[in-house]
Amino acid sequence: MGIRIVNGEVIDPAHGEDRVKRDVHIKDGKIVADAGQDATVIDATGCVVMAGGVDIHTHVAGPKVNFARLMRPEDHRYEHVSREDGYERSGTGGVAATTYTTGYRYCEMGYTTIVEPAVPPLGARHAHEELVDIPQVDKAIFTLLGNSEIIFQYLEKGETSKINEYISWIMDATKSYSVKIVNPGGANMWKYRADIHDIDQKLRDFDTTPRQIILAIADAMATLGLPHPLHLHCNNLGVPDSYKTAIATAEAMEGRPLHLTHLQFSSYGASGKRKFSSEAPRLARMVNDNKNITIDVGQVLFGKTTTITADGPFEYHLHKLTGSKWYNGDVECEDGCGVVPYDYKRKSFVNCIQWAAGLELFLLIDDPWRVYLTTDHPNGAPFITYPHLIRLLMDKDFRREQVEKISAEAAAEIPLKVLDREYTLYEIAIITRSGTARRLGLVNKGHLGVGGDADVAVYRASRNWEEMFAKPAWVIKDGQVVAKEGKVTRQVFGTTMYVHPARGFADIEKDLADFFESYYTVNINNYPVGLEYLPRPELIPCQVKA
Amino acid sequence: MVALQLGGAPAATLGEVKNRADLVIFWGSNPAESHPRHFTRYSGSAKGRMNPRGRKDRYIVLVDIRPTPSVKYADEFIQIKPGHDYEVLTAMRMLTNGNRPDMDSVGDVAIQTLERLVQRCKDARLGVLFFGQGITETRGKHQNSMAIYQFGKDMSRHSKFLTLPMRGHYNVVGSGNTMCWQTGYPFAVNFGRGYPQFNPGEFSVVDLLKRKEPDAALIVAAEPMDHLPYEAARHLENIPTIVLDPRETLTTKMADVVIPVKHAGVSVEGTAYRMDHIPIKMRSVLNSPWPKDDEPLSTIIARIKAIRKEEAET
Amino acid sequence: MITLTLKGKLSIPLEADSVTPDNLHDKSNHQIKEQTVYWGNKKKTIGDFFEVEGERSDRITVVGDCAKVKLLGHKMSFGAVHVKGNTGYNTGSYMTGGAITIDGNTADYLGAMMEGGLIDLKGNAGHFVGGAYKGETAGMTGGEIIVRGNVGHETGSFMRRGLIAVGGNAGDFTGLFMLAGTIVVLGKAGERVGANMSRGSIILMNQARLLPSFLENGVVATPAVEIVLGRVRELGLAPAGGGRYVRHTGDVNAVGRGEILMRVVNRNHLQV
Repeated sequence: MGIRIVNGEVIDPAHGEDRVKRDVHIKDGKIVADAGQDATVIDATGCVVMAGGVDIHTHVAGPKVNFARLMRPEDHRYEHVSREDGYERSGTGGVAATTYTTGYRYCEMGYTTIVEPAVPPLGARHAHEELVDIPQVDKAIFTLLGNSEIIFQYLEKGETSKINEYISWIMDATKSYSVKIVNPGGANMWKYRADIHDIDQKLRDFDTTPRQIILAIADAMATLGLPHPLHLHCNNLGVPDSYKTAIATAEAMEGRPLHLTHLQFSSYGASGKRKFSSEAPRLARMVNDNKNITIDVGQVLFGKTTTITADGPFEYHLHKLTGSKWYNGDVECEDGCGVVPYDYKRKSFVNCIQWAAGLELFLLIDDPWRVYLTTDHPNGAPFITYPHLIRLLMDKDFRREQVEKISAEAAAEIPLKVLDREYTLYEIAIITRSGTARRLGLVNKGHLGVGGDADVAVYRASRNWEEMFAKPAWVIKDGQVVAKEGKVTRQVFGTTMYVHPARGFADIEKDLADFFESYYTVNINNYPVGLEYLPRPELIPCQVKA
Repeated sequence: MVALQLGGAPAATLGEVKNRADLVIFWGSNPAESHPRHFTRYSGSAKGRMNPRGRKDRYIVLVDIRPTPSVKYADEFIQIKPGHDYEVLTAMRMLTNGNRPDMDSVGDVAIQTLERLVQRCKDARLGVLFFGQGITETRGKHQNSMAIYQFGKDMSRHSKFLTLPMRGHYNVVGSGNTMCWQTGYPFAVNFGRGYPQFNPGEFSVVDLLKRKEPDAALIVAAEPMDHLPYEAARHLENIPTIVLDPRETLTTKMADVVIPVKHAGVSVEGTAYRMDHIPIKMRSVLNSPWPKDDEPLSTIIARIKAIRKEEAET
Repeated sequence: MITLTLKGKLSIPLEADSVTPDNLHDKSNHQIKEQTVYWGNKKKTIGDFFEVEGERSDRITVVGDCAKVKLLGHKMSFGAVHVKGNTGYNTGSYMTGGAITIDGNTADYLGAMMEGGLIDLKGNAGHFVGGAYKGETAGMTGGEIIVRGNVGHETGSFMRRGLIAVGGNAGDFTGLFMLAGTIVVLGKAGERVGANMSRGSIILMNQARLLPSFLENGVVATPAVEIVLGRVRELGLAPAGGGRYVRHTGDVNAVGRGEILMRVVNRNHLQV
């Protein structure tokens, strides 16, 4: 049985369609040309029809997310999903919500694909076990390699082909979709309670630098033809003058494709009375001038949240600043992580600058295909705030009202106050689905053309964009209606997407066996995650250039 | 667990200990008997990146209320008065933070001894404090673990330092992790109102049983008749019990219904989480005629749902 | 006055957070009987467990041994609840106003996370009186709790404002992680009083062994203590007045601005 969505206005930026009145036909989980006479009709009068949302960066599963849940029972006490409300599985909310609740909430906002972007290889098995329990959406993980001692060893010896081979091996061993680098070299230095402050700073144990790490991994990824390019969290994140490191990093790429994640957290300067300023305009210029670069913003929104990152030294810094709880989890040979609760306050000068800097990035980057909507969930804010963020982008009067509520001292300094741009629905569709899907290399997602996955969100048009995006009238996943009026009506499970790059660049079997024997505490035979951990695997092909 | 919820902790996987730790402290833990392979694989004689000579590259301290078989593996043994862990840790935190306690000794340990230990921690490349049931089950309980974590956080201002619990009981960490991602809480979860509620003491098994509140019990791969306090275990004898277990145990002997199941990691593959939260794939090495442990549970759930549906329709 | 009389003896606990003046004051007896309570894993009504008598009022009397009845007066903001018997877990938790009187004993978490109002317990309480639930970093933020009997461990943990007065003895960790507010113990206090307290005052009428992280800071006789004790007397306890107190400041491992005032019982106390 197919579905025919009639009378709606289709917004499909991938095909240049902006509020086009046409029917959308769905059959067997795909968008089709004609769903047939017996198709169920959904009357979308007064609605806009978009592809399902695609979140390119959201911390929803894996060891450090689970530590964030574990450490904060007070985060779960006041929000829950109950059996009594008709949900198949109960759970608790808060900013680090439980797995089922996470899936339901994404679905109820019209999102159908999410990416957990920071899993240490040793935690991949754990992350996949959690993904099994996240319903309603398709999922993927990125593997953290920016502090991999195996790669460092090869870098020291200049063995490029072995790096290619290792990354190919580790993608398969972790059933991962792409590579994430967090504070390259920084988590390694944190094992000495130190950090990295410059992309040309040498590590202590290894004769290499962040610049070399980033370039080697980016080149390896290009060689392997991974569908999504390097996903990078810069060194020096979160501190004044972090923007300089971001620019240096971008320049170091020399035209190679790069995704800079949650760039807002790297957009600070040291000017002004408080020695803390937004340099988002400079970074936006940098993005505008470099077509190889895409970013997601990592918007900060006011309220309580939990910060979760693989950037161990940054989290320690935050813990010292706030005196909050702090969990640190270094991962042998691979990476680290930290968890600290944080409260973004309108009264705080620094927090207001952060809030404004994110919005400035959105408003000053010209090409919506290269800037994506994220809050770096839950670091800037939990993902359930997306509808509010959309309103901030689409409604300049609303934005102005919000500027009036922040610290007056900050309000006087921020470039945001003179920005009048309003995002259109078409642009919102790009930054929340079409653009992210394209950058992820997901050819079947983020659009409503024939052959695409039948993941569709139907929003009832309203001038209050926040309400509109909070409760889609219908959400369709793989051709089935799974939510109505912002409430899950059917529990389904999506796929886990992964890549399987080509091998044979070099023989690293003995190297790996030796390395595991010497430095790991797990047996190499027990290390790879098999497909038995992915109940619905979806292999996404790599595109090796001839 | 509760201590972690109070303030977090500086932690790492065990490979960090193997590769980098040059100071290892065991507190209220007797690894020679409770975790016999810990010493050779991670914390004692294990060779690693910074510890090429293994045991010779580490200084090992044992803190306990009495000498245990682990003493002979340590470079230093510090004996403290029973029930005084919290006081000793408080004094160590003071010393770490630059305050000298106004006394000569605490918990029968000379302040000078503690001063030396604190200085060792500050000078270490990587110091690790492992703590065991000798401290978590004595007066103060989770507050003792909390004091350990606080000491670790205080010490993190001066040097790289980790505090790690010596967890046991096979896959207890896996059960805690799974509970946590499904409910938000690692244990003591009550689903009575249709959603997870957490309150240790109110909803933890021992306390519920001591108060004789449950009127039925489903026990999966646990041995309450052996492990729980007598007055808690005794209540299980008075209520209907269903037990899933691969082996005959004191609990299966007591149970009203026993469903034999495959043994995870022996006769069925599965995943178990190590004490440092690393999941390990477990293989199947023996055949067993019994079902996997999730099969009877799924059947029971399906049957209950069917009954509920029938009830709702009539 | 609304009177709820427990019909029988409970073994499975009942979650009765619907029993508050806020919820019941404007309802008929029939409507009250229809209000939801949770019994084990079943959704039930007040009428299943209690006889309901009386008329519309913001005063509720609960009669019977309610040791297994949890959450009485949960989140109440006005009126009065008088329990003629024992109560169970979480009595008066998150309460913001009004008064709860309990003639018998109660379990753990009496007045946990309380924001305002008064709780008067005639008997003994369990652990975490006026405490914080696990993971919370701020507990009681206002109100007064009087316990005429003994209390368990961790009384007033993470307390931020308000008064807790204990007529009998207290367990360990009284005033744990206290941020501000006042705790008075007339009987004996257990070990580790004030551990990790940042600010606030703990007044002990008997000697207790303190942690090394508290520094003795002279003997004082302060009007502030007498004002607190005056209030404690008004609330029905009988502390001795006019004494002198040894002042200990700490916890130096936390902010260190808290104080423990220990009443001077005899001249030799310093050698003990």
